[in-house]
Amino acid sequence: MKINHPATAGTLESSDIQITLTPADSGTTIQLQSSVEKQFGEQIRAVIAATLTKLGIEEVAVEANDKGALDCTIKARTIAAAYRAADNKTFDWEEINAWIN
Amino acid sequence: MDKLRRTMMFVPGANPGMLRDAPIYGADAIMFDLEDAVSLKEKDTARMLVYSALKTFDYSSVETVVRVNALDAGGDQDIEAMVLGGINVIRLPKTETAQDIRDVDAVITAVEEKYGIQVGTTRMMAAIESAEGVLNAREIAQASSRMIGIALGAEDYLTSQHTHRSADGAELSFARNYILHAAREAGIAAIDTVYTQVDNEEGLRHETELIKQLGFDGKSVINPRQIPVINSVFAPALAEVQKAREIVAGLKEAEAKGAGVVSVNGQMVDKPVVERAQYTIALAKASGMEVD
Amino acid sequence: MATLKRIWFDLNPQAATAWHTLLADAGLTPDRQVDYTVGIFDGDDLLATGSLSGNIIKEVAVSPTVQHENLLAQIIQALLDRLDDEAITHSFVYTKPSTLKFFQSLGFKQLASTDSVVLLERGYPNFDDYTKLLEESRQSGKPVAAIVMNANPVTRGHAYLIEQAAKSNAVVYVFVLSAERSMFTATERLALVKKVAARWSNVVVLPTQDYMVSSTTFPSYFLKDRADAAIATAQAGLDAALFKQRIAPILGISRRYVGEEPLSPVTAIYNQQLAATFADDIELIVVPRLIIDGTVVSATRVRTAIAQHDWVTVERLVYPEVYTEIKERSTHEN
Repeated sequence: MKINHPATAGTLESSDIQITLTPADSGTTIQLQSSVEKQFGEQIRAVIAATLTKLGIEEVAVEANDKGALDCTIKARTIAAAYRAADNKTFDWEEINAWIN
Repeated sequence: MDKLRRTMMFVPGANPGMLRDAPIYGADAIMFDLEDAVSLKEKDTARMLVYSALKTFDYSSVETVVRVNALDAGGDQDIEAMVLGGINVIRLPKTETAQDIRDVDAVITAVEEKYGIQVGTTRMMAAIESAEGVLNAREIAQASSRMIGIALGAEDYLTSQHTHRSADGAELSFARNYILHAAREAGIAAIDTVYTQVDNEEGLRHETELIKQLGFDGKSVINPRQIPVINSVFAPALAEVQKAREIVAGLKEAEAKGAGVVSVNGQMVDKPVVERAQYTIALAKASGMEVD
Repeated sequence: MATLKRIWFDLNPQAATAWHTLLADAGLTPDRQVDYTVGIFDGDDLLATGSLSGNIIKEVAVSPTVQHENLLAQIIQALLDRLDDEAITHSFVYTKPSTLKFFQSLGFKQLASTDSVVLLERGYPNFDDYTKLLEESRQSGKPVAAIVMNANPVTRGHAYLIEQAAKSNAVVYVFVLSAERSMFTATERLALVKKVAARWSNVVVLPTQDYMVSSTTFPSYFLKDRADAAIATAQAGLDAALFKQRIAPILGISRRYVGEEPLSPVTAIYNQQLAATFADDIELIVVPRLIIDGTVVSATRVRTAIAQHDWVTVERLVYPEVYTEIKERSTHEN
């Protein structure tokens, strides 16, 4: 999946995470802002990175603003932002369902 | 026996915190809303969020329902995601005709077949929110073997009737009674509309008593605070429970004897009465009453 | 139950009154010059509010009785949703230093700060992108000077200022304001300055984009002292801080040239504030204005002459290539 332009998914409300993906020249960078950075920062980054890998995205700048989101929310927001950034209006449920858990 | 559907709580599909907490409030069913509670531009993210929640959280203590969008407004994608996520019931809003139900049924069947899910696993219910929908309630209720209930959505319905809600609910009496008849004829549940004044507990209690007396199975809920009020109104009276226990005892006795007829106090009891007695006992259990 | 609603000042006088009271109670000055306002209500009680003016978040307040960060987050989210609806992906907030952390937790990034004001931005394209543009335009050599101008349009006076800087510095960066509030568009102004500056090989012309705190966009509603001088001081202080803290280090700027403006008290304040903020890090050099026909050359004078179709005067005040463009533009419009 190719990131064509910046796109965002998620809100700043409690238990959510807002993910913005921006095209990058090389590699994946994750900039995380979280109220639980100390305890869960690494895990949040890992979930985002793993989800991007599953989506076949290798060159992207991620900005994540976490408000205490659980893993399933982090995955959902990352996938939604990626589809938006790739101008892909329809989720490939078959493909996503094969790896989401 | 019928499932308990006293309370069906709306949960906005775009809110991760509420998706997580929804099962803990004691509602019999939770209804994820992908329709009116989600703005047009967030349909995609909400669909993904509810799907991800269904794949993750343990909702086994409640019946899961999803209010999908109309088929021409992304409803087909909602259905694919929700069926794949393992939702129990697809609720179609603004149902006008039996054909609406058959169309959704066909989409569900296609998804079930695509993913090797046994056809018929996913159930359906219809929300009726217009004069046309009310008048077609009988056909709607019987339009699919997936149907488990019909619900009245009063806000849009009353707007289309050129009126609005009042305390005694006179404006809803026809729709409520007609929908109830349609549900009973089809053998499915009848769910009443939401009570929108979340701070008015007395008003909610009064309205719930009214619809329970009419014969409704339960009510849609927009705030967790409404759940205990409605559940308490639906708690059966002690005498009712006692009578139900006697009928079930009679049934057990008849089954043990291999008799085809159940009798209590020398009176023969019909099958619907036995089923109703079982339902009453389930209600009593759910209401925390001791019945065993 | 608290509900979030849009506030229409004209349609709902009761809400408008509540809005005024809430802002005043929070120590802020109500300013209705906004495009969009939301409030969180409990019945008729207004608990929190926030507004948008273009892409600037303004007039944010929460009732002292319910200080609860979540209400504020809901307000900001509603405003960001509105910007999103309008396809505006980049926004700013000017706020008190005490609320800096809160806005950072919502994904805003600090651009510059003074004792009384902090400026933050959110979204994209953002300062990282602007930094890239500056880095790509960077020239080697020392000393390095900068000039900021609106150049509406660029005059012989502007050129004189550029020339003074170009003569005594290795590199001169000329920043042209990108805000669209002028007779000439930002694109036109930038193009004309580039034409004029092509005379000097060590001059680089750049847009300011959004990274200039102008008096027209600076919201002063959170300042206690509402006097013009106090507002100008706060705005100039923040602008100077933004320049010194963020822009100058990227390009190694050690001098800033400004035109002398003896008749404008606001500009005097501005220049004083620049000097105070720059302190020893950046030297402020005030250049006397160029005089033609006994009067200082200004863009205002040029615009007046254009409006009066006094092409003789226009020709005397601007360079020939600028004159040709202006004349042509004027013919097209008529």
